[in-house]
Amino acid sequence: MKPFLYLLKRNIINYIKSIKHKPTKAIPLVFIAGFIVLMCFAFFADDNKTESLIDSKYFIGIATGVLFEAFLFVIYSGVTRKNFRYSMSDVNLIFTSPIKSQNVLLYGFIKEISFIFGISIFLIFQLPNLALKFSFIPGGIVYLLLILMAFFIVLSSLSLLIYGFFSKYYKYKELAVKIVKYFNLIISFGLAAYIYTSGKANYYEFAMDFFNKDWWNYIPVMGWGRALLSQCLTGFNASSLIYGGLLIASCIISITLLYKFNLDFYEDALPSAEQNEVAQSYKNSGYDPKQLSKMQNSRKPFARRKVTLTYSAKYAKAIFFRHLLEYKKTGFYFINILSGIYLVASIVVGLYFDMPFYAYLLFTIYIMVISTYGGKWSMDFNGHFIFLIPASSASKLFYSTLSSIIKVMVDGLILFLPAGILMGVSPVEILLSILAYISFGAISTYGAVLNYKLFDRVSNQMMKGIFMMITLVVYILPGIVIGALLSFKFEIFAPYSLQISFIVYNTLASLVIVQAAKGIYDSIET
Amino acid sequence: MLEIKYLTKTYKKFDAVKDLNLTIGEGEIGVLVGPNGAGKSTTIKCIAGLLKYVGNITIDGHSNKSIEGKKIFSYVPELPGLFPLLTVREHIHFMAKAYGLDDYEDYANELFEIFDLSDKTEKFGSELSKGMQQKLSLCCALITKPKLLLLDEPLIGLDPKAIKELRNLLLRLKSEGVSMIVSTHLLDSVDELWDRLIIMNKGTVVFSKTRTEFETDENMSTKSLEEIFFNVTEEGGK
Repeated sequence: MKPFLYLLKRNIINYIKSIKHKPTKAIPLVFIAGFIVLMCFAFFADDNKTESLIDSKYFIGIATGVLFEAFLFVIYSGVTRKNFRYSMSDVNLIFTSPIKSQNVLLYGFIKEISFIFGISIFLIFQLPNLALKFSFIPGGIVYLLLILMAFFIVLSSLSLLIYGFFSKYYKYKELAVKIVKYFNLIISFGLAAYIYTSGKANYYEFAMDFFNKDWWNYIPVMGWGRALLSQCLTGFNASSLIYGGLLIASCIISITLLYKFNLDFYEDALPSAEQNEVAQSYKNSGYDPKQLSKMQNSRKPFARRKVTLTYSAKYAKAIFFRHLLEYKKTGFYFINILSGIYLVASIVVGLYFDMPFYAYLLFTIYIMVISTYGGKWSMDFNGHFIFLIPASSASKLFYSTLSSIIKVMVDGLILFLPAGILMGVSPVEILLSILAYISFGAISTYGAVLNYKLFDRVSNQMMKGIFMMITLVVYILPGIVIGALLSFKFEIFAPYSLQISFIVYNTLASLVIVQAAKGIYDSIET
Repeated sequence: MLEIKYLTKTYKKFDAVKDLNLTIGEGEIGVLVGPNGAGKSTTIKCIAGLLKYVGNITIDGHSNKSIEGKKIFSYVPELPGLFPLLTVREHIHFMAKAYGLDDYEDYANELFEIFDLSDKTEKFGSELSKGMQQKLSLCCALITKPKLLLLDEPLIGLDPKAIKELRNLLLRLKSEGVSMIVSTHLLDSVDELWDRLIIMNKGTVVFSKTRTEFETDENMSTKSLEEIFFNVTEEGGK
């Protein structure tokens, strides 16, 4: 294990050195540390925190449901395992070196643990909410984080063991995949059906009571983790030691057995190493759209229909028709899987949700704005072609973003027509909501283009991502504030003041942003 | 055809290219060589108008960044960047339309034949091997019938047959008056091609001679390209 320890040690040392060399790299770390300090401060300084506490059974109930599904997923992913944390440098240099395959697998496990640590940063941001809403024992929120991390490490080792077992006895793998898949489906649907048939009075309360039953603790691994998580609220006792001990023992047993398997797993690790490499370069680039299509390209199978589209449009207009062809290949022009999801959401909201139509509009705008970076225009930055096309940068900008705007328009129709009709909303409000949605599509698309021009040269990739997100909010926020003021305070253009103010502000702001961004295709450098 | 005056490209405080002057005439092939980091790719990207720079670059009298300028040159990057959702034939269709061409299909088929892509025209760009992607990248550049062709390491990833076919095609294009800048490390492969040898080192041109100048110089005519390359770059290094 010496070479691996050397690798890990050098990686850590070089990372610290790189911070010294480029202090801006430390900004995200300082940001996270500051957040944790503020979180602790707010938690201990808030005297009224007991006022709005929620019953612990809801936390335990939801946690049990989530852990159980995670457990089933881990068993399945163990049998069908395709994801390893190896990089291409590991594949090219370590896999070919005279190191025992068991040690290479252990090295992969250590990398997996570091990945779990990385993921738990996202958990940290959820802790303040949990701490304020549930009555944890003193320090319980910290135990919660530690237990969750330990639990996922144990699950990882279990998943690797299952993978190892079926790599060794690969004849049974196909059968095992089928058994696990159907077992998981039967258990999940069986559980849902049981709750549906037995809890008619109140599904939610029934489900919570069901997931709070103590027998869950006797399910190996998942139950032990659940018991420890529950005790962050109810208090630790002698059983905590037993559950903790069982979890640690299962991790040790898994790793020991795995070590004894003496596996030849390199071929299984290759495809995921290639994917990890492009995913890493996408991450290192600050989630740069230029890298996004590379990442998507590396994921196979790639859903594409064998269709074509012969167009005669020339110069910049050809960009739009190429996008049209790409949409045709992944769906039916602008109708794709996402449209189907939107349609279902629209019908469900129309039938079951009792909310004002403007609230639905605001929610859909939020979802659309945070997903703006995935437009076809962003993919074109990946290559050099668009920069070389003999047309003005402004016309290239227009035609490269046109497909995104039309897609938003189609999505707007799907999102608001069925919901509006089912909710009995006036046709004028439906139409204005669709137009408002499209106007947000335009401002967020052109805002994202301008951000690309403004921030592409920011060297700290995480900061670049943060800047881009914050400025996008800056472009959009005035419209929302003006809309809110006009509709709720001054009641101008009532009852459609919110939608009209959105449309007017977003259109004007989009025109200004387009002026600032129109030179984007003059040079590959911003 | 190509005129570069005082080209300087700076990354932060580092001069990747400094005060570079170069002229390539009609039907002339300039071979750009130099050690890694000499500034060859940066120079080609500046000519293609992809980078911001200081200086003046004109192609057939037009600025390289103008629409007229863009119409008459093509660029083949070191690493092919293709559209994952387009087939080989759709790539060519898109390029032809983006450059305003109508009757391109016969030439496209000829290029497919030359580069062994005829049986792969319905394959997606992402399904091709690296060498095949490079061939498609060449086809994308050639279909526009450029007057100036910028080739950045075009031979990397090509099989011997494709190298030979590309060399023949470039000679044919040269005879038709197409000018070229070819950046490469494979000196032997361009031995028959070049009209002007340009050696770059540390962002500047350290050697620039035409084949005629080369052949009439008694000191040089007996030397191989490789020997000259090492003489010039090692002297420059000292």
